[in-house]
Amino acid sequence: MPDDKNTPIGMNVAMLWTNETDTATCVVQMQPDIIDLKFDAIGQDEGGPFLVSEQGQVIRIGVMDRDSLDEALGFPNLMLHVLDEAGLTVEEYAIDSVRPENAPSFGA
Amino acid sequence: MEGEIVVGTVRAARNGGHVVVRRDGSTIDVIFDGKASPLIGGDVVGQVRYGNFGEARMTLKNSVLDILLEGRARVFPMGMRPDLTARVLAKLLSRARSAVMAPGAGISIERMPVSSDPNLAWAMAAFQPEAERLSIALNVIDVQAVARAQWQQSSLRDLTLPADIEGSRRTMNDLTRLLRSGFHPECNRMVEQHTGNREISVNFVLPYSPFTGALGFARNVAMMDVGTFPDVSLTVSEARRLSSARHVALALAHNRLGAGAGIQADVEGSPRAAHMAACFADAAAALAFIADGGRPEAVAEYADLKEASLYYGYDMAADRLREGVLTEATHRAIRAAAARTSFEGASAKEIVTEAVRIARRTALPAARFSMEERPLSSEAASAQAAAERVGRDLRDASHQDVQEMSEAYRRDLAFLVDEHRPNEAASARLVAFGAVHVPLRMDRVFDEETRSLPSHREKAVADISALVANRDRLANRIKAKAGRHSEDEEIEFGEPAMAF
Repeated sequence: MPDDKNTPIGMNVAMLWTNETDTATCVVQMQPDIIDLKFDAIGQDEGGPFLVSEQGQVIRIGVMDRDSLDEALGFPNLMLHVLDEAGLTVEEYAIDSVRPENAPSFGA
Repeated sequence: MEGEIVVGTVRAARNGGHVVVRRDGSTIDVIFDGKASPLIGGDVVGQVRYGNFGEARMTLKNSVLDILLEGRARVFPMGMRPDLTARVLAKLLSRARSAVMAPGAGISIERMPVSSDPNLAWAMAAFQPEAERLSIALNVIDVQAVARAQWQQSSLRDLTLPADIEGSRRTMNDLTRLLRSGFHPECNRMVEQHTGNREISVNFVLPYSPFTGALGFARNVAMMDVGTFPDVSLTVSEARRLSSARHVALALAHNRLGAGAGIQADVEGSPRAAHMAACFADAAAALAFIADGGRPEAVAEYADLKEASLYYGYDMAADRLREGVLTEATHRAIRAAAARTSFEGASAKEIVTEAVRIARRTALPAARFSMEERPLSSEAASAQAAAERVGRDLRDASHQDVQEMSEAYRRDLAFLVDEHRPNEAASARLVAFGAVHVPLRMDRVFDEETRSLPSHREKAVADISALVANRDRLANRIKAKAGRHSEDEEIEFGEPAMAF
């Protein structure tokens, strides 16, 4: 689980898009200092939603609707759509979800 | 949703197609549409549809979000800064196609390419091709869904977020004001200074009021008070189509009325510019209505109602027309559109192009707006004649005439009652908004027709009464409507709906 004291909040904004198929996209606007990080997984715990980078760094996303995110984490196709500070798309890539049953394996 | 979204990696070429391995390890044989030929080993995102022979055809896209923007999607706006969320969402949607927005479950927004409301779907279909050609994303609010929804401050904010690029409360305040006043239709625009240019975009389109039938629509257009009964043959569906088409067309006005290609017209910059936009929108609505085989008599009545507004919208005490009446006097444009014969089956582009010509030809001259706003003698005579054609005075009418008009009102109201009966929130709103629009001497009809609604009728009426009795708040609202600062700007959401 992420340690809130040491976990930076790196996102200005986040929103979740889902459709009638099996795909959900988490759109996040990232600050310049973390925009180059690649993230492996997205999940949520009692402290809220978080992203886990390839290096194991945990970044809090901010406020998210728990039920909606939990539903999205169950989608087979989960994407991270990264925007820069101007709101322009930087990249979009597939990401894994951290479901409650495997959450402990992603400690901060 | 049409087609399956595939996110994967191209692994090999096989039988004239390619093998794509999905993220879960499963494979799919696809034929790429168009000239796309991704490299073996490349990651792809696309939409797969199956052809006549069962072959999977994949259309490549830049991102999954692009695919989501094309279909039916749910959006959950989140984050700690709603203003920034609004800005980002607006940017994303500005590159999307037109869509209908409705409140979804919880805090979500439903975004649909096509409305389930037949009248709204018709209006969007009439102008959507032209909107897409002009790169205008129409965010049309599904008024029926909003009427049924239990909206609160947060859901209202979220509903306006897709268009509220300003990151301010203005759009939310505008929408709230409209919803509180019986969902008056409006095309809400914003102007943003962008590298020295004024960029105009459309925040949202509220196409029609779901709580006014054909008679309420006619009364609003003609600026009649409750002492006058609209004597028109318009049906509710015709009224909604004309209203929806007009407001969707209004969203195209700033692009089509510019001085040249790529130059936007500031359609709210002056009363004359607003009048020109109104002429364009009404002409386009009339043309679209006729092109689809609509009744010419309905368009003729619409023109009469507009002209009659110069009579009913005249404030005798102030000896001037009420605010906005002259701007909305578009009867000449509507009649010019109605006179266009053999326009059935015209395309959206033809309709819009013709509407621009009609607006430029029939709009009142700029000098007319620099005079005092009172009808000229020639205008007054024809406006009075139009008023006599579409309005009947209820104050001096005989009992038999009132009975006859009551039956017309009952039919109109019965349609709305049947429509909103399945939903308690919509029923309560119909009672609340309808109560202040009841024609003179027809309270009994309203009571009888709405008695069966499954709403908190007593509570709704009590709330309205309490609000009306609060004179301070009423005064503040009048000040707010007049554009003066008042404490009403701090108004809280969720209070009873009220119409002025």
